[in-house]
Amino acid sequence: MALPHHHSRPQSRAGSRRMSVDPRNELHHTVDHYIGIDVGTGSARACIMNADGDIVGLHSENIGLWQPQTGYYVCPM
Amino acid sequence: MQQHNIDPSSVRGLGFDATCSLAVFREDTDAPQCVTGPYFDNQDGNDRNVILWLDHRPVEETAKINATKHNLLRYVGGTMSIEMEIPKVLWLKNNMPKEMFDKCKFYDLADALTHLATGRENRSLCSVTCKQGYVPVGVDGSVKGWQEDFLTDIGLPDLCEDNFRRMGGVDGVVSLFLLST
Repeated sequence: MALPHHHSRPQSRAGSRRMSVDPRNELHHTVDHYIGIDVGTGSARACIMNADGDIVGLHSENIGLWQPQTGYYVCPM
Repeated sequence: MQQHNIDPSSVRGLGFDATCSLAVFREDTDAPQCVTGPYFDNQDGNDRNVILWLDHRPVEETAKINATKHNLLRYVGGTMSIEMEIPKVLWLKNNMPKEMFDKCKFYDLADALTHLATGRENRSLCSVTCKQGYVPVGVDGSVKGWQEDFLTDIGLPDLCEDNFRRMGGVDGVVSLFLLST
């Protein structure tokens, strides 16, 4: 996923490594990261941000919902 | 992290947000506890350990809770909604075999995620206040946060044992509450 997470990086650091179109080839380990996870009713969403608040990764997974009886809604965790 | 080649050691914080759903685990093994009868054992493959907010099974329990007219109801909008978590705990008490219910501990879903991520028993002040009938210490003379007279009245004196351990405890005694916004 191409995300605009480079614009706030210092030019010197951005220029010191090889640019790639594949995000898996990019290194982010020199920057602090934070993860937010929102578990809703139909899906769970996770988001990784750097210290500047730029989103560097997103992922979503559907949640399996069971209705064992009418009016009952359960899910696993 | 893998997809974007992010070093896990660069992660400084992890935050959870979730729906108002009740997660149930066993105290002795920390294993998920199924929440649907008659056997509460996932025999039919449809039983899981989280009762979701939209699960409207505790109709009678909610009526009983609101009939108390307890002062704490002022802090959850005047009456406790069937979609909150104490009606669901009471439903489990009324429908599970006693020896099974006695082994259960309860979490708001967001706190259960924190528990799984850290192994700790912390609860968030927001979760317990807005979803579980906790009145913050110092508010309206609240001493322990959890309201013992209310829980006893509705038939959940079990939860008061050992400083409300199965709900996360009393701040500064058993567990540590973390402020959440």
